[in-house]
Amino acid sequence: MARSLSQSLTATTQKLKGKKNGGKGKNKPSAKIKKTQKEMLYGILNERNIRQIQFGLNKKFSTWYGSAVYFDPETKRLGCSETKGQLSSVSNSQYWLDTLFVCEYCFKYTDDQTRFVGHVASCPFQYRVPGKIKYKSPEYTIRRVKGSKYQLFCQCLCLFTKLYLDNKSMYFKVDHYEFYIVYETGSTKPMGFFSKDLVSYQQNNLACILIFPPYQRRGLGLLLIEFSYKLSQLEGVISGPEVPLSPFGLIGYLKYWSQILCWHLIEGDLAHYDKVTLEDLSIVTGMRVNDVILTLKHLNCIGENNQIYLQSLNSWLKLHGTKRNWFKLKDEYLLIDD
Amino acid sequence: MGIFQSIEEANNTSERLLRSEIKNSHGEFEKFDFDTEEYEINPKRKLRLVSRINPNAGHLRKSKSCFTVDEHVDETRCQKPVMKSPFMSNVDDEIKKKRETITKMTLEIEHHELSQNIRKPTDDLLPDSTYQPYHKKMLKQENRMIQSDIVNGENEADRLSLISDRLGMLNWEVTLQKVTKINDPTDENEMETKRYQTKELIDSMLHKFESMKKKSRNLARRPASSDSLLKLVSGKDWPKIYTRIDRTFIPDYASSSDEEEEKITVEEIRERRLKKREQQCGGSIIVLLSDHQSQKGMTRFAIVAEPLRKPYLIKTSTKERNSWKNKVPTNPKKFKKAPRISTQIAVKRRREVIPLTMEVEPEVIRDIRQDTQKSMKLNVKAEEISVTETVKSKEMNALRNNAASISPTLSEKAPLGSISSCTASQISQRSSENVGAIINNINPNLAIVPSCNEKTFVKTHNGMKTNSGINILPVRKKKKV
Repeated sequence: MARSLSQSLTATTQKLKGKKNGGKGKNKPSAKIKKTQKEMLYGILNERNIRQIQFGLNKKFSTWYGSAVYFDPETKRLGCSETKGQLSSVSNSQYWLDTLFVCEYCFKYTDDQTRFVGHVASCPFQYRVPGKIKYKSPEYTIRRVKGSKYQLFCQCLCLFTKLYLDNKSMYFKVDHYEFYIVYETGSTKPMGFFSKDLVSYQQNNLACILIFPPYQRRGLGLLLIEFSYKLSQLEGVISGPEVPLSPFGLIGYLKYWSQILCWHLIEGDLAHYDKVTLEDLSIVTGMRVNDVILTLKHLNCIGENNQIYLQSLNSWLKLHGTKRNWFKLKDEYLLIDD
Repeated sequence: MGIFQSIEEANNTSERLLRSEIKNSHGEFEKFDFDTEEYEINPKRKLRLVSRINPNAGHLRKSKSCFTVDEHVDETRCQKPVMKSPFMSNVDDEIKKKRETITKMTLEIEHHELSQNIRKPTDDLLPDSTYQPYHKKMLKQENRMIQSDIVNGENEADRLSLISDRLGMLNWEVTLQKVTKINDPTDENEMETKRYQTKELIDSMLHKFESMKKKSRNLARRPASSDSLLKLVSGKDWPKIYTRIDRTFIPDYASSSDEEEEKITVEEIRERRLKKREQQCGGSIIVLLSDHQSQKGMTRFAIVAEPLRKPYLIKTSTKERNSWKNKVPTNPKKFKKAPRISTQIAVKRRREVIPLTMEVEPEVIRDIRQDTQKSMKLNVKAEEISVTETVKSKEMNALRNNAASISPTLSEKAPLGSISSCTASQISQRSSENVGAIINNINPNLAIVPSCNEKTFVKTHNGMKTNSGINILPVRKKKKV
């Protein structure tokens, strides 16, 4: 089927969401902005410009990627900074800022430690968590936060995300997005999130996903991925993530896709079938056909005669030790249809 | 990862296409290619599920061993799987690279405590107003970028729409060859098939585009309000409430945050939200289903319809059955047979239509009758007029009689008056004898005057009957008097 022209409209309409890099001649920026955009695409830098992050009152870690949208392009100081003077000490250095102070409750940012400490002590999100509960288990709670309702919070969240995702280019236009944030039940500290574009041309169920550095390696990414597919299945659409995927995203999705296919072929709805089609697998799992094919190859269970070897699936399950606990998400705790 | 790479390449191609579109508006766009399979495996082809192991399972073992051996040895051993199944190892190699990348990207979280000597402030030291100017400025910049993309999207949609229209015209062959890859333009079967495929694909793309635009409009038109759900409730459309409704795209709908739900359990949250929906939209409907084969009156299943959700079937517990049975209104155990109502057929009454041939004569007859009635009315009026005139003349005669009786006491002028009146009567009577009598004896004149008046009266009356010209005379008398 004609993919290129389809992708043409896809790319065009995807950019309707605002995930776009500034291009020459497409806009009418001023000369300075135009000159700046020649050096760097919107928000994206080739190297890190912030050395490290002070996350809350007691956690510090470095950044992965640079981000220009925190800064005024002329002075290279934080755009929200009241002081507009240029720092001579770091003007020629790689780093525009040594330490960025980020509140771990509301993601407001500053370069002033004193104001930061004072803010954390009285941050309103510390006592009142935004959004509506969509999943609540004894361990984790997932809340939906609307970008149109909590605009500043979502903008700050997107700005922080850019420091750990390379291909993100949407920071301030958050009206058409919903943010699903995972907390520990009873806690008010966000641990990770994914965003969903409400007007996606491809009907993607996930725009970007990030587990915050202090909470990585806990399987929270898998939890959020499962939840995103629950949402799309409730809507009755075959869906998937927005591409391209980051390395973390690819590994996480392959794990989930592998699990869900193994479940349905060994224990689920297709367990007692002699023959299945890719369309059947797509409908049952909610995955796109291309994702199904990729996963079958990853599982090494597709043969030359277009046969699916179930023993290979069992081998994968034993290797990854997921046969006892198939999924992190429990249907009994879902509140997405209420 | 190959698919992701191809998607990325497609995206890059699309970007180049957009650039070429901008730079060279008359340039050719890439054509639809229906000869290339969209998927590596046909999605509709049945795949057999085999319980034995994959013959390529050795590749998995070797791949597994690759993770445990040092880098140099990995390359040596990985070459073998590449030779056996290059496509499969490509995926695994990509995943391996990704894992290595992730391993390198592991962050160390340093515990760095900031001093909190500052007293707890009453106000937020980082208020929203600190960020609003900068964020507003950047939002405007992003909106400009988005607007440019919106224009490009609309142009692309218009172009596709035009192509779709042209494929329905007489010269569709020319258009098809411009937009779709054709192997043999003389092959009618190929042309028709690809024409259908092209049109179908374009229409689906445009449909998705319009759907996206509709969602965008609905999201833009959302003032803060929570009464929009009530608009869905009406006496006629009430069944629509008992289906899943995505409230995100309901105009004028704004959901509320449920902060109170933080400290309650999941079941309590569900009950609370259900109660809220029932208050907004309507109550739940529960239909108990009976299984006659098990026990009489025993209900094992039920259909539950809640507002804003799809109905679902459940297997009921004893407690639920008893609870719901109590809510069901009591019905009579036995139904009485009502007597059959006798048939009553209503007959519509209408005027009888008179045939065309019969309509003329009755009308003519009616016309004649109307004329007769009119003439009779006229005669009646004439009689009335005559009677009135008669009455008036009598009155005048009476006055004259009185005047005549008083004449001996009047002056000499009185006889002249009498003479004048007699003259008039004589003229009217045209009798010579009467004229002589009047001249010789005045008293006879007085005696004749009444008789003349009577005659005048009779004649006048008769004259009116015999000749309508006589009717004018009384009027003349009035004038003279």
